Amino acid sequence: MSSASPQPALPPDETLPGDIESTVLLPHPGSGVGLGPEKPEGNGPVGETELARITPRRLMWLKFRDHRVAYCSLWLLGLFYLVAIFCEFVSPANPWHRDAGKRFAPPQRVRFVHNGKLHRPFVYPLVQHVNPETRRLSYDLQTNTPLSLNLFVRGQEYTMWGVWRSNLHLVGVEGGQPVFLLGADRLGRDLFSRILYGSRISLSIGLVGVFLSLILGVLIGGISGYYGGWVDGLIQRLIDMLRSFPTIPLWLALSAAIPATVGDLTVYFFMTIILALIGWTGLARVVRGKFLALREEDYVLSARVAGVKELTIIRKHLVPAFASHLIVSVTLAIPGMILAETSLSFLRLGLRPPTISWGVLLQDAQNLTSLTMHPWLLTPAIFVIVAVLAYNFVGDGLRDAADPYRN
Amino acid sequence: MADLLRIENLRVNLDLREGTVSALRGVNLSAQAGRILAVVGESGCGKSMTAKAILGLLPSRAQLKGGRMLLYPSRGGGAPVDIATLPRNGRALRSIRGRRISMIFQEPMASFSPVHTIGEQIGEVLRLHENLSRAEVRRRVLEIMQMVAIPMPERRIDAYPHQLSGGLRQRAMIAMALICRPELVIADEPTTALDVTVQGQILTLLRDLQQRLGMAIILITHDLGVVAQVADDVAVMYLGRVVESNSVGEIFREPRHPYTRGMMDAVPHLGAGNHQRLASIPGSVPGALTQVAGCGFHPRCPFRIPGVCDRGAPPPEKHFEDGGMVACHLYLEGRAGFDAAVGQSAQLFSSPGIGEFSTSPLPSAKGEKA
Amino acid sequence: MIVYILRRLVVMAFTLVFVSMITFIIIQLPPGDYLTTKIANLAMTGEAASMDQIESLRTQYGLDKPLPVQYGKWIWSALHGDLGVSFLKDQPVKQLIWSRLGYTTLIAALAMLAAWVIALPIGVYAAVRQYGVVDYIATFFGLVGMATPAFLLALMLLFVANRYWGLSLGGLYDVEYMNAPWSMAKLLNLLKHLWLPVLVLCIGAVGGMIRTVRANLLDQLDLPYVDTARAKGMAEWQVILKYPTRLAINPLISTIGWMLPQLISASIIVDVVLSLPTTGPLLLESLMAQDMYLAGALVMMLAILTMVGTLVSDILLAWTDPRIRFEGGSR
Repeated sequence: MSSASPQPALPPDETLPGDIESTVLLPHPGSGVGLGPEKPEGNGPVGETELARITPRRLMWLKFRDHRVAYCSLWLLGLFYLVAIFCEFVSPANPWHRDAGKRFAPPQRVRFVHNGKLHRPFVYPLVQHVNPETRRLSYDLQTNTPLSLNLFVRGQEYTMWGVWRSNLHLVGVEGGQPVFLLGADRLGRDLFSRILYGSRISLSIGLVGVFLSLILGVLIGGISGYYGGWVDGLIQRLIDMLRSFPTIPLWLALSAAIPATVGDLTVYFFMTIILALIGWTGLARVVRGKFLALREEDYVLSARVAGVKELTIIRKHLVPAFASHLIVSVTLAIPGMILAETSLSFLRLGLRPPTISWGVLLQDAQNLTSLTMHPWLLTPAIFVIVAVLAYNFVGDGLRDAADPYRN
Repeated sequence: MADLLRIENLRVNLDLREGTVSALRGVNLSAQAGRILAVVGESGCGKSMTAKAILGLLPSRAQLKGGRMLLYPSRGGGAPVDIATLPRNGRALRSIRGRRISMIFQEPMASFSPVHTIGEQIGEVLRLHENLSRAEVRRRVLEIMQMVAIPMPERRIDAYPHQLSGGLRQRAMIAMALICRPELVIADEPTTALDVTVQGQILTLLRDLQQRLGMAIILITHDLGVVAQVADDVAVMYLGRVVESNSVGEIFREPRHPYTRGMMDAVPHLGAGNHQRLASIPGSVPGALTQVAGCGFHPRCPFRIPGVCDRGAPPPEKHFEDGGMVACHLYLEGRAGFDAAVGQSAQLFSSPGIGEFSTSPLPSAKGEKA
Repeated sequence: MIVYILRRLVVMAFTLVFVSMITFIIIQLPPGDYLTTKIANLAMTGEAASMDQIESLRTQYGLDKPLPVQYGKWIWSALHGDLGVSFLKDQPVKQLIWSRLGYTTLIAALAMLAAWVIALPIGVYAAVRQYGVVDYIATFFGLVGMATPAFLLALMLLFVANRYWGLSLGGLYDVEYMNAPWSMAKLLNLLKHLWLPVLVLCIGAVGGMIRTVRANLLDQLDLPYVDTARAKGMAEWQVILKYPTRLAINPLISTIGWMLPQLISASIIVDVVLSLPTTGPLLLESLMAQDMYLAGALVMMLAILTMVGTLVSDILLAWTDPRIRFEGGSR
């Protein structure tokens, strides 16, 4: 600001954009006293507040922790994934094991009171009755023989991760009898175990799919945003064309295209590819937008003027700036994938038995009459909803934490 | 000249997540019709908050903790209204806003709605306070636009804010503030967002309008050049209090408070030589959460008196015959004030090279007001 | 503005060609074609077809021609208004999809209207009284609505309606009305069944809308122009409704055009669950059977709807935001 007259503008607050480290004023809660009164030595300015150096990453984590719902959701997701990894151990039974004597068994509720007295957690066993005329199944509880629930029970054998053989289960009933905490399906298979096994597929497919999306999205979006010009224009046209495709028909069509004869693992991979192919455009857009905006930022220009190499600029300045946004976008894309897999498997496209995923489990819920008689078949839906909600909360929390202008 | 608005001992607290902060710690101000009062200070001293408090526009986290804001009737006698007691957003306060007291905001681009025409936004004030036909409203809007020297008002009235230049937008903002002929106009840093050349025009415009319409103006600024150009009276704020006030000539000629002195001194002098470093007040404004005991300025004041300035309540105001006021221990309890203190201590505001603190009159800013 | 629209239309034409090619390829992706699937199905039920029959059918349907020729034939006749004959249903495609598309659009449009009517007031109120009761409830329900896949919602609603009220709510009409001529009674019957798919779609959409309205409005409420309005002496609610709400809704208005195809897309699976005579179930069937003409026509219709929707959105955005309108209207 040049002028003929002296203009002693008193310094306004200064904010430093884009620095790797930021200085943060540490508040002094409660006591409310800063470094107020002067020190007896009395030379030099006194009364300045402490400064601490906190990296943006740590700052983001602290802000995230403040968002209680997101924080709890993160723990919940962690629990889900833990269970998914160790599902063989956590499940009380083998999910493929059929028990004709327990077909459509209702859930055995965990109880704490037997004969009016407190009892360690237990369930009542079920006895099956077949109505000779209607061939309908019904179950009665045997209320005189409580079966206690134990931890670390020996039960049906399984192979952990295809490598380890064991028969130790986290939860089970004394004597190793089968227990149906969430009921049984039409073939007498324990629904709870099936849901736990299903979590492995349902939760992982989202991660793999999103990972593939990420690679595609960052690559293409990055090129588009960084080079700009006609490259950008061309790629954007392409993306627009892809986006004009209605998503669900695209899913349906692609999933229907998976040949019926390929193995289950191949189907899994095809599914992740399909999910990724549809999801990458969203991420590409975000990446491109960020690159375009950041290219023109002053601190990038100043780095260039200072002679920093392009690659270093990208690595040190641009990537950290949008890394947090990318994490947010990725986190928010995962629930979409989970929902997509569930929907497609539900329609008998994509994954199919004997693969277990929540969507596959919900195939049994398609029949309304069956559903009315055996409502517990809908339980996998709750798990889907909770997982998706949890991811949404975490994504929201991350987004709020990453935004430096909040509060 | 009778006071139009008198603010007495205004206290405002701000609830932050980390604690409660005293944003205003007992502000005393008064504005008279036909005069421009400039309120000066660094960022965070509370000048904008005072302005918002007058109109009841404090954010919801802010609470009025004490004090009065008396608005006197402009004509005839009658009791003043204490704005501080009016319910926020109540009818009484709303009838004052825009009609008796109006505000010119700092950033005209952000302060206008981008999806309504400026004619609509200016006219709205009129529609809120007077019952006029649409044609009459339009006529009055054109009239005020002409008064603020917006060229071709018939075309501009239907334009959107983004279609105007910065200077025109600020004129439109002024038009909006004046259309109901208020008694008091608060201008919150009206020129900060503008180019230097436009700044001068706007200030001249304000001055002219005041002479024509006779309202009182409270001008909030951090720019001493602006003060020098248009102000009649000056109030200097620091950490939520007014530390000195006087007429503009006096305050430039003989600033009393060490902070005011420091500000004046920080003005670069033409002809001061190439190798002299700029003077500055040592230290920085304490963060909002720090509490400073005693006088708010004492941590940075080279004249602080140990045992006096650093404890107890902030220094009370002392009034002088020339109408000035200062809140500083150097003038209390029989102390002789500033110049005596200068004689006693050699090293002052740290500016090696500038040497002694100058007590000579400062070169006038734009040659008009000093 | 006109130039802008024309340019977009040209791009749309290109996109349509591109989309048609992709559609064709995807439908033909599974190995074999309609006939091989049909033969396999027949074999499962015990019927066999002789090789001659197959070959003649194949020639008749033109399935022996190379793919590019099939594609060309399809496009050519489509451009002339002939959408072909469905292998599966043995009826002209146009007849089949017309009424179904109609119902689908009706349901989606009603759902969108309902979503707006519900989401706007709640979103505004939640933003103004942030962290109040309404805010928490609205946010919670919104989130659950968004997290639940539409078809699950449909399933659950069907289940609840059946179990607790004994209603059987699938389909669009009770049996008596299905092929009856139009009458007031028929209309009422339609509405009686219609509310379920509309509700399902609406819940899915409302959640997101409330959050968007709330977030947008919160962003606007801190901006200086709101204070300017207050400083003029406006009543608080007036201030909020006239200025920041208007600006908060702007980005949403542009989603109108694009929301309709989105809802239609979502309705596909819902309709399968609810067994409605709309696009969804038909699309699924035709895809699995590789019925080229039927599936192709349906997908193309949906694609056109989506593109038109995007165009409408962009036009609406330019129209309602004077900043864009007065600067050439380019995005």
